[in-house]
Amino acid sequence: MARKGFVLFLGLFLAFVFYSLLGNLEPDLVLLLNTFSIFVLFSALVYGEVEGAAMGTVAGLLQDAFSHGVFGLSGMSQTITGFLAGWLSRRLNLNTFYKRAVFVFIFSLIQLLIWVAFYFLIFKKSLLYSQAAIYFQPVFTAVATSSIISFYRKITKAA
Amino acid sequence: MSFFRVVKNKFFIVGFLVFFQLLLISYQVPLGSKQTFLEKILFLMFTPIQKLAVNSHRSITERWGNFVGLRTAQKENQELKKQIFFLTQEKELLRQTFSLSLAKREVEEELKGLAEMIVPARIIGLDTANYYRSVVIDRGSEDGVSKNLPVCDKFGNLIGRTAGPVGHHEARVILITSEESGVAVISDSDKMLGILSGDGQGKCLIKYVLASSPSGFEGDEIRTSGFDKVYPPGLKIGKISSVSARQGIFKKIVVQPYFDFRQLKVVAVLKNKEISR
Repeated sequence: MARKGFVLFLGLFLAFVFYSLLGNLEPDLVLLLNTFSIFVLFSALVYGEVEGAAMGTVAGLLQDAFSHGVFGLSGMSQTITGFLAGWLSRRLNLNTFYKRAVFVFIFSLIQLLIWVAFYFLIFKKSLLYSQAAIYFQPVFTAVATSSIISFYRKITKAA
Repeated sequence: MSFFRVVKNKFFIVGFLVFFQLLLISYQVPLGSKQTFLEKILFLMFTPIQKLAVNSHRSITERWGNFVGLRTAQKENQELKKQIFFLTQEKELLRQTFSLSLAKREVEEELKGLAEMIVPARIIGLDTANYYRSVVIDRGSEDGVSKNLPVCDKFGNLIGRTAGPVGHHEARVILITSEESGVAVISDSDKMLGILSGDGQGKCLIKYVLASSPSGFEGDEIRTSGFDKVYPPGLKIGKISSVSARQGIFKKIVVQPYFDFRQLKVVAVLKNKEISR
């Protein structure tokens, strides 16, 4: 329990630090690699639906706090995605890198769609025209999340 | 089913979390750009971490850069000496111009005052949803930064204004390229007045110029007019890149801002809105 708490806390911290550093390196990287999404999907796939939803709320609200938009929008999309990804991952065999990457790609896309749909409902404006980099976000999220989970499992096995 | 079993149910947990987010959204939407207490708390809690991470990274890359760039340092040094020479000349010329209308002591105070009105700041964070919307700077209330102060790039071109939440050493800046921004502007040649707003894609639009109006042509320079009482008059913004009259009764005037987002590392917060050019 304590270890899980530590991993989740560290994950959130790292997601935030990487988001800050990516923006400092190149602005487009912030959109290509949504570190908060990566963290939420990691939590959901490794620990399950409840952890996925809880971390979705925390990471999503943190993401909202650093965006001049509606507070709660990313929180909502990340919570729903975290829960659904965690719940479905328990019912599927996701032991290989590729299967996991495809699964994460689909859920990253769902997260993006929920976010865009809610934004459109509130502002009657679509976010999809803002930057082209946003279209590639699910691909990069899928590769990064699947790689991190593989790495994490190797570490925990070795330990 | 007992209360504790209901609370432990995973669908109850996710339902509660989604309900909580909906509450936050419904509370936030009528507030507009104002921040809720929870948002302010999260922002103020995490900006010191962001500042530390970015500054550490900068420090490491700068040290590495210094090490690698030792060879070019001499050449750069010569260039800088040349620049210092010209800048000193320029400063003296300005001093002389000032002294024509003011006494020496007043000139010194004026120049000292100008330096005190500017707060240099570094950008430490970008907007998570759209980086053309807002940035986070490493200066806050303890450095004299408050809400609604104009912010310029190192060449004096307007980039936006400060907005809440303002922490002790951190603040958010709403960029002029944000759809939520609004700047009262005037064109250089035909003195066309309008409201400049961002398109969220790196460009700006001048709104409410009638299609029948002869004003507005490509290449014209746009500056702040000062009528909004937020931005001082005369700050450079950009140039008109296209004009079309397709959107109903108003013209569509697109402005290409002068500031380059990728070169935006250091900015200047103008503490006194009375500064004008």
